[in-house]
Amino acid sequence: MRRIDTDLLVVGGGPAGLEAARAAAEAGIAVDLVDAGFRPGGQYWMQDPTGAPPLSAQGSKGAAAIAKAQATGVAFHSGAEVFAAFPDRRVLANAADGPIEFTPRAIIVATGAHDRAMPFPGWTLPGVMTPGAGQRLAKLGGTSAGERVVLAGSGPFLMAVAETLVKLGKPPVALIEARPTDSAIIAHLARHPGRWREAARLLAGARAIPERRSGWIVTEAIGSERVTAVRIAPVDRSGRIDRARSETIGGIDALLVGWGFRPMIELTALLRCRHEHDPALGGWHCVTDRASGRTSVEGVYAAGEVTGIAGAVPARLSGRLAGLSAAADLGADTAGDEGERASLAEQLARARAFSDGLGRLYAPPADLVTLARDDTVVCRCEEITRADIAAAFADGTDAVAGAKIWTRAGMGRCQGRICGAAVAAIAAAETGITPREAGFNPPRIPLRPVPLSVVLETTRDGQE
Amino acid sequence: MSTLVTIDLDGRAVEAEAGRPLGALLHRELNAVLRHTAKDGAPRGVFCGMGVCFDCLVRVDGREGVRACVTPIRAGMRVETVRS
Amino acid sequence: MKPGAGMKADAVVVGAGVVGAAVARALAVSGRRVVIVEQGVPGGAVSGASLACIGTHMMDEDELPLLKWCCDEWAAFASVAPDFEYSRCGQLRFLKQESERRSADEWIGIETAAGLSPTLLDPDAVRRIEPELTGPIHAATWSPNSAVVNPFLAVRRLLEAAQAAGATLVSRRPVTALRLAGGRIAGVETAEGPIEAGIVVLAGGPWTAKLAATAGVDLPIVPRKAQCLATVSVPPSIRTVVGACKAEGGVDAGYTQIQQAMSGQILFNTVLEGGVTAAGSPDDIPEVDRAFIRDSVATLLFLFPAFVQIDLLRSWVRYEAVTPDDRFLTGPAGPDGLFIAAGDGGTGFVRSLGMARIIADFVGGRESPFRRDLYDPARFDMKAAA
Ligand SMILES: Cc1cc2nc3c(=O)[nH]c(=O)nc-3n(C[C@H](O)[C@H](O)[C@H](O)COP(=O)(O)OP(=O)(O)OC[C@H]3O[C@@H](n4cnc5c(N)ncnc54)[C@H](O)[C@@H]3O)c2cc1C
Repeated sequence: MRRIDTDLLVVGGGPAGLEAARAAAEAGIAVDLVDAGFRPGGQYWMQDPTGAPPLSAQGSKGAAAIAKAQATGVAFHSGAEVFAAFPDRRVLANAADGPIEFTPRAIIVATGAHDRAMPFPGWTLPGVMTPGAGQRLAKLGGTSAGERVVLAGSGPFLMAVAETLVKLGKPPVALIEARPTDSAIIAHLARHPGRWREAARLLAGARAIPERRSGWIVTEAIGSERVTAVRIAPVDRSGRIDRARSETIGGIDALLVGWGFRPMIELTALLRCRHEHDPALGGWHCVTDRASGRTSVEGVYAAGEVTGIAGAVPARLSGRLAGLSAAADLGADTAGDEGERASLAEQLARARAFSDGLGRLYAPPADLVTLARDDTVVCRCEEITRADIAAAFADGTDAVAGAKIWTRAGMGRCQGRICGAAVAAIAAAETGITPREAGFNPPRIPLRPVPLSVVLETTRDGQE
Repeated sequence: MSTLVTIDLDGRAVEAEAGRPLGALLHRELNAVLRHTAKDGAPRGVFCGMGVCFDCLVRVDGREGVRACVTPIRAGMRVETVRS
Repeated sequence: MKPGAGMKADAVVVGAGVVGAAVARALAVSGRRVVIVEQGVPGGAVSGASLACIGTHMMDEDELPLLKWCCDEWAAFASVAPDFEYSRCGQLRFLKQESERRSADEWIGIETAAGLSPTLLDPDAVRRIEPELTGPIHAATWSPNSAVVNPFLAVRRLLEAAQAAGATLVSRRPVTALRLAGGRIAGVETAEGPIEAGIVVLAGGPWTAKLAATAGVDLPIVPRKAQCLATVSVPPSIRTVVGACKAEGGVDAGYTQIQQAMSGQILFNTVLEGGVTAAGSPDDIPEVDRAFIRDSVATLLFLFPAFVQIDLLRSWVRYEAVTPDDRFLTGPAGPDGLFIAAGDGGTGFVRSLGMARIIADFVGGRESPFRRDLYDPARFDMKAAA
């Protein structure tokens, strides 16, 4: 096992983590950055794993940001997955060439987000995946999710995936956006002229898609060994689905469905930082002081999506702020930075206003929770159906925690990351509690399954 | 830049670009079906593509439960799928 | 609307762990209108963290008759209730060296005298029962009648049985205080209003003392940290409950328990002598200690070296309720109508049905089929007075 003693450990190498690491390193702090990805860059600044030059302007920006962070002396540890953290701030990560133990004086958590998936009939069929998976297959694997892809769900990220697939020469056959296009979206965009170019580019890309619908939702994926067709139905502004007007799109081989993102709070939750629930921010997220990135736990900072879904611009800004304040708290001379920090905080507030608005506009429709039928698997790991979960609630238990112990939903390898939000929604529907009261599956050591040999190696000389 | 290597997929030699995610290759090579589940015997494939959902599990060099989507392709790796 | 607010009942059971669930079932079956009030989710505290071995092996000589009765009751419940993964898999307690032999022999003598059939096995005989146990052990005791249950489902089934007998279960509703009227119990207070009842049973595990104090009752229950680890599901590879304990000193002196759940997960924990038994607030949700992880994994791999590449999936920590002599406080305490069933000392799963029987017998004015003075909540006061 490698032991790395450092001032600051940044977890996550996306825009937030890279900016945080660079800001702190520039202030003279020793920084290590650990990231589970093949190469740094995260989801937004994803880099080709074979080292091929970036395809997009976005990828080039990421490459530049990585190079800058490297130039400031940040030590990168890619392909290393954090699986444990202790109250004394020791962090354990597992990499292909063995485990690493970090003993930092401070931690910045910038672990990003993952797609919000919600169960519906057929969602476990091969070929059905999240839009993020489609993006990664393309950008990391050079592969399209299929020859005939339907892209569905809600939110601007769908357009970004469409853009990638178009570049790959496999434009989606249909784009099914649940949110009806209306003046509210136009009015929101109109208030943020800084984002017009990006919006125009994405809209132009979407023109290559033959069938574009908004105000429609995927209600079922059909197929036996792989998805071959998809049922869709209109959904109105109040989120009600009109199944009487359902249609089928056949002849497909992939379906990418997603409902925005959920903050990846496993590490901040393990470190006992305070979390809050806000649907517009992706649900449960780590609460920070926006101007400093400080969490409720001393020495632990958070930046980017983990503090509430907002996109890449706020991620960079919050990352830089967290890096600067961590550096200051660690004793770096940051006199003279006050002006920059104030300006960053102001930019962050503006960028967040834009993304919070988008988050509210593209909130998942109310009827989403009604898509899963009694026999639909909700917990993919343990193969627990909606009926199993509803029966547990009828027997008198409640909340995500109650469903977990009485049905095993959330007890498998993914530890409820995928089904947690759906189980909370089912609890709300069945027992009348709020998704906030329904809670989430608290992460525990190890955050990801890790071989016992590695566990032994990393705890052998452990003191408490 | 990219290097072509050969891996063993369920006993068959398959050429692939080193460093890319195994999951993407298997998605292509196996018509999206990477395994069957223990309880229902249901087919599963890549779902989240980022190591979060644990649906794309395969056996790699004898190790069980490896997430194909976050495993880089290496020359000579032996990949076995779990089918019912 | 959630049930419970403004309700009237014959008996309120505070806590829906295995003890509260068993008490509620016993009282409901005997015809009492019962409301079970749980602050969190049923079985979500210690009971849901349990390894739930149902056995008599090397526990407490004085309690053997009760433990035997409990094991029979569990078997009987398993034969009538829907499945809760009851399995009479037997229990092995391994000895690392010859010096542990004397204590093992003593225990075998005691249990044999009580009509049980434990034996001492050499390593080859152990491997015939547990083929993957290839580690260098000296010997093991074998107790063929021990069983395991799925702790989540066992609590659920007990609560279902209670509900079938008319009990009402209310989740996520903390009881904040006890209600007294004219010097006797009149019910409980909750955040959403009182529940009136002439009988209140506190089965609140490590939280029990705090609640009893609201009626002026002082109980010697302290919380003690209990931890556990679980691997991912693997094909069947452990058949029995494998463990070790230094009988003389109880859990504090060193303890191991390893078993495979029906899900395929291997559940295991090891607390070494002088190891982690820190007390804390039961409201804390701490992480497992590094030393605990190391000792548990090292012990598992010492016994089962072939498991080295299995993935660890999860860990958990709870606070068990501990009394000065590691036995339950079960029976009446303080004002008329107040009963206690808490202080499990780390092996309350098996004992829960017996504790429920004691409460039901007190409430129904009957004798119990085993000694209940061992559990008298006032026993320490009486000792002090003597
Ligand atoms: C790792 C581990 C392994 C174990 N292995 C075994 C074993 O093999 N065999 C065995 O017999 N035992 C075992 N045990 C011990 C056994 O699990 C416990 O003794 C038993 O579960 C205790 O049950 P309980 O109902 O008293 O406690 P709990 O399950 O803690 O129940 C108490 C309940 O009361 C509720 N409550 C408390 N205060 C209030 C309030 N004010 N209002 C409302 N609700 C309240 C709590 O939320 C809780 O749900 C093990 C324990 C652990 C942790």
